[in-house]
Amino acid sequence: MVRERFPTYLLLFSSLLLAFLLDIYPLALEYRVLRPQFVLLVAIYWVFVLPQSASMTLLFLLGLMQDIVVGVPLGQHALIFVVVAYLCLRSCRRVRHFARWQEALWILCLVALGQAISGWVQSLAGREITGWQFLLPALASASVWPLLSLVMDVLRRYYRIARQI
Amino acid sequence: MLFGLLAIVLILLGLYTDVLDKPRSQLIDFAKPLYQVTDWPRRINHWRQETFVARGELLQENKRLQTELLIHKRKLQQLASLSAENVRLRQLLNATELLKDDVLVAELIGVSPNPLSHTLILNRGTLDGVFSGQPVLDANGLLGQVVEVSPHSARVLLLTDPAHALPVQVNRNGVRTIAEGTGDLGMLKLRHVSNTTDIQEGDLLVSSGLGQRFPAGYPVATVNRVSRDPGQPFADIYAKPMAQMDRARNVLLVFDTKQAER
Repeated sequence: MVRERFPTYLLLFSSLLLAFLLDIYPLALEYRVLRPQFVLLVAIYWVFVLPQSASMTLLFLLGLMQDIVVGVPLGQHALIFVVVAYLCLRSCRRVRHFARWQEALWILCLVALGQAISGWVQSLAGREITGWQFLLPALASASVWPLLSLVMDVLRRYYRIARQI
Repeated sequence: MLFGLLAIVLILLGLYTDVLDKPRSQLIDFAKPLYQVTDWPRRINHWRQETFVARGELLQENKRLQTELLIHKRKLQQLASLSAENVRLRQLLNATELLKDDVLVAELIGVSPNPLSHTLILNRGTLDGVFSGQPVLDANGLLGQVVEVSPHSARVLLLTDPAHALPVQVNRNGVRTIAEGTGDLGMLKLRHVSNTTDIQEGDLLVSSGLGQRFPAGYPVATVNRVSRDPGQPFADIYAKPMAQMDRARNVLLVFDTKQAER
């Protein structure tokens, strides 16, 4: 059993690790607002692939981990992950039949919601967001999604990890 | 639902109380390896630049550095007599002697990916004696202060972060004011300066030491825009930080003897 699941764990953890690295890769401040939310995207991908195994506890812990790595108030990303993953779980059966660009539109909505939450928490911490700039990461994430899901699908098929119903 | 509530409770606890500060600072160390990995491309680039360099360039650089050293040595000679004179004058005035500061060199290993906050991650922690609230400098001036510290790494809040403010003084005439971050890496704003205050473009702002956090006398910024509107109660004054907020690689952690005891 463990042997069967090993590729799943391997792919899951390595993709998350890579997403974390991409998330903190140093960029100039002007480009930092354009950085896609890689960890969130990878988490969404895996929730779509394995909706039966998706556990809110794990997603919550993943969010806490990102809070610590990124250095924002504890719970900010945890809240985003839990809310977004809940919506993903409710919608995963419908999204399954979407084309990639349609998926990307749905990702745009989800990440925008996440950005709204993070904007709320940051404004509590005294950092105001100016205008519609907080939606830029959502746009960036949506434009990265087709490529990301394509690469992940190829890897997933290579390791023969089936989608859960 | 439950986890959502839990997350909100955590956020509020973290923002309005300090119960989470301790576990948090223990956990930052887990992030350090990730930041070190993302630092590799720069390290490799640095290594390449250092290793594959022409002999002529090295000679040229050596010559330039020697000249620079000579100039600095000359200045230092003057400084010795000046500081002795300063001590004598201070004794005459019965003023307390200025404290000498110790410094520790630290290297930057990462920047915060959050576009709203200006924080850096350094490779020194409590094991090197770093403490929360410690001032951080680069070669040109004040950079910021340590806000979170764990055994092997520390997080530094830059002066330009919107949540940061520090008391400063105009070097020319000693006018005291407060410089706060604007969220723009090249800009500080002076708060509550009345229209009639004597501040000009080009004035050097130094830390005044009144906040009990930063040692006095370190350069902070130069005033680069002053606009006085008679209809407004205060003048709009912007200053450019002396420290290279987005370029500094090696920074200095200052040990003020008073603070280290505390």
